[in-house]
Amino acid sequence: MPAELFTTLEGIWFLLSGFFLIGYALTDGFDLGSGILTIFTKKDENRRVLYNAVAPVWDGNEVWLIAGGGMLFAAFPIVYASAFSGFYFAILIVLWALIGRAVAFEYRNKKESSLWRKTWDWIYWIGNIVPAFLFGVAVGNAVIGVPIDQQGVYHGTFFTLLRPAPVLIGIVGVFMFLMHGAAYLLRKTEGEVFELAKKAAYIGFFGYVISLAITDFLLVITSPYLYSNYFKYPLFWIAPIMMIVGLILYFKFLSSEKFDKVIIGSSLVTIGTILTIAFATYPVLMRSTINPEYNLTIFNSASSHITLTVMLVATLTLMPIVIFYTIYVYRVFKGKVSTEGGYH
Amino acid sequence: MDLLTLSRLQFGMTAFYHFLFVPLTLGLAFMIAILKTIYLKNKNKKYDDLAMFLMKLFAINFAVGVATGLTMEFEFGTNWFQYSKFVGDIFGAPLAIEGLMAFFLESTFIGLFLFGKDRVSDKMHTFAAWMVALGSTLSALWILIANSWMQTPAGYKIVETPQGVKAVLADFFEAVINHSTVIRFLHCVDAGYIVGGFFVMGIMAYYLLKNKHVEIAKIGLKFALIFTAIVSLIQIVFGDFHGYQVANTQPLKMAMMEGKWETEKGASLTLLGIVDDEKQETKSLIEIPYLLSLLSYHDPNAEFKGIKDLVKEYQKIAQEAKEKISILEAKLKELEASGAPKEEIEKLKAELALAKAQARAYNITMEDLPSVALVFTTFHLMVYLGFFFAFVVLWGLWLLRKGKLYTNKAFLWTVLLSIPLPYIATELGWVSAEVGRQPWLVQGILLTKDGVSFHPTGNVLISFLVFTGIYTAIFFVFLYAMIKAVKKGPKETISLNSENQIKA
Repeated sequence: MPAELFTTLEGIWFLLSGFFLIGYALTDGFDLGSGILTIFTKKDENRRVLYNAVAPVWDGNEVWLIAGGGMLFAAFPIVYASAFSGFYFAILIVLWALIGRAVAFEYRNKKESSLWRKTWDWIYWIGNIVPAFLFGVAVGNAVIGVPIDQQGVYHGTFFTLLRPAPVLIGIVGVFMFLMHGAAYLLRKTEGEVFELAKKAAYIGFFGYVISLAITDFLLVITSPYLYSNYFKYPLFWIAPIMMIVGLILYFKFLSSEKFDKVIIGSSLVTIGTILTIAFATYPVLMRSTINPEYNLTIFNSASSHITLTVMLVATLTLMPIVIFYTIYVYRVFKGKVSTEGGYH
Repeated sequence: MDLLTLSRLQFGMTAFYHFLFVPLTLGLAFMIAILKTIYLKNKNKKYDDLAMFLMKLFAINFAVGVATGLTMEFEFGTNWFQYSKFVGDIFGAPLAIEGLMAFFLESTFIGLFLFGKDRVSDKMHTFAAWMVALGSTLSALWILIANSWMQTPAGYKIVETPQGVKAVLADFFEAVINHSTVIRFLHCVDAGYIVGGFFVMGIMAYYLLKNKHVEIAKIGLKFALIFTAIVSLIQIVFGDFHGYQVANTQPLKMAMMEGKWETEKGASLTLLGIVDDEKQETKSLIEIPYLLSLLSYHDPNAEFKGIKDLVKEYQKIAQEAKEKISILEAKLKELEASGAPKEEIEKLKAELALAKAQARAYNITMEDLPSVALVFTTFHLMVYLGFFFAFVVLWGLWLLRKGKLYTNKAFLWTVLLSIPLPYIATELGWVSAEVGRQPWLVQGILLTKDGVSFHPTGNVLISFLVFTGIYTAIFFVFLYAMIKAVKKGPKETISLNSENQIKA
């Protein structure tokens, strides 16, 4: 592996950015994945179970995204500015969708009306599937490249973002979250929802494998530069290997009916997928299709060393505490949920 | 409308809505935690019932607070590209720390608090309430650190990079404390407590007027009254300190807040007046001599600079900075040619970059100023409301002493109808603080017009309209749910916490 990854503040912040991205995908990932199932069951009580399964934790999970956004702003401000203004409508649509999701949780049951609830269920569904898709699209665009100039100003439109490769990466993302969400539900639910989750786990698995293969095939042809790191730094292979091991475990636990353990597989897949992309793009955070010299790398887009140091100290002090109480709260809510569950 | 106006409108609108929910979160979380603690001590179930009822209202409010807050974290990037690039090195850090220190705490423990009552001990549940309160207060702290740095920047230096000019951190603690963080934090959080206090007082008064849930309502009203009395009275002190800080570190804003166009020695304070932006004059209807100088500089005869003179002063600073640029550039060439030490060259480069930033940022005319009438009016209305709150709580305390608190209809109606007033006061204060900061995004180093993203105007128009639609819809759903929950009252929530859970 490149030594800069561990010996420079920029490199360490590259890893930490990955850490926050992974933290988000591992936690809110199963919220998004389970939410995708909402409209695939008609019964109100099943839908309630889907909400209940994530109700106590989704809010804390979403903070990974907010904290990640803040981290990007603090550590790589130009990337934050360039990506968020450049991907304008993509980012806003994610926000609008997540706003709908947050509100749906609290307000779905404030009125005894089936129309009211069905409306909120659709808002909730959109609030899960749209971000699940667009996160991948955004990451895909950043690593494949977008028209940005030397100042980091984006010169494309919304439709520039919807090129085949980023869209495919978005689809891979949806299946990845679906796998993870289904694995979570296999632990948390019983009965009809459990059966639904089982189906979703298989769909997620095969969907992921197929869409990944197609994406890989396309990228080899259109973006060969994404593979060069793997020739240069053999240790980077840890990431794709982790992903493949995760896939094998996922399928094995699923088919041998060890449902509690399926989530180990999807967690490894999630971590492996994100690291695979991160290692492929290193040290570029946002590629310029105008001129490779305009690429925003971790070295030319990072904050000053004093800011990176302050943020490193803050992260290393606070994150262990965060992880400690997060685990505590998850343990409080462990066990199966249902409409009856512990909530009535 | 042009891009800048639309971008400002969108940011203002989204922040306005978000700031409708934040103050109540601050106040209510703190009050719930205190009530839970009292319950732990005295074991009076009524306190727990009251806390659980308020928790239900808190949840309705918190959901929209989170939803609208999400936007704020990303909107700097989406709509203020140049600003984010310019200040990211400094401004990003408090935002990120806010996430780590506050949002995780608040959002993780809210789950435990709302859904875990049957799964943890009373002590742990109370602890969760305190963590939510602590989280929301810390969140206010870090976002106000970021905001205060924009108002009174400190602990930075300006550097030139291939991707443009930017401000970088020189001293973290200086940047964090700057000149206004502490007092802005106290003033804002206390405003949130006042919102929470009046909110609870009003609802309890409503039950007493309706003769419903009387026992809980009495406990709640007395508790909220004492709480609100403390925070409302102390706000007068905080307000005074805050004014002193603004006068000394943001003189242009102060002059706009007070509607002073001309410089005066021993300036009078206009209690009631009309500001005319066109004619650049303020008609004072009621004024108190010497008071403004006394409040601003703790000296009745001090000179209070007017808007027109301040603008001239800033133009002079810009002119001087401009002249400095060529001198510094020549000096830099000389140094580089003579092979001077790198540190010396870096220092000179920073000086040069600062001069360039100031030459641009201070080059303002009267046309660049915001509406002085708006800053003046919002500020004055906020102050009137602040004194009105003090009057209400004193009245309440007097009734409490006389034993008539729960029966005095006039008082009960007054607090009920006053629920929206602290909300209005916080929004007014926010408008006067942020419009009063104009024409700068970061005082003295970055103009607002130099901070915006390069979008086609139509794109921002579309996003502004969508945001307005979504937020307005959310606001009405929020009102509907809140009013319904209040009407339902605390009784239903006594049984279990299931009301907050997703239920058929």
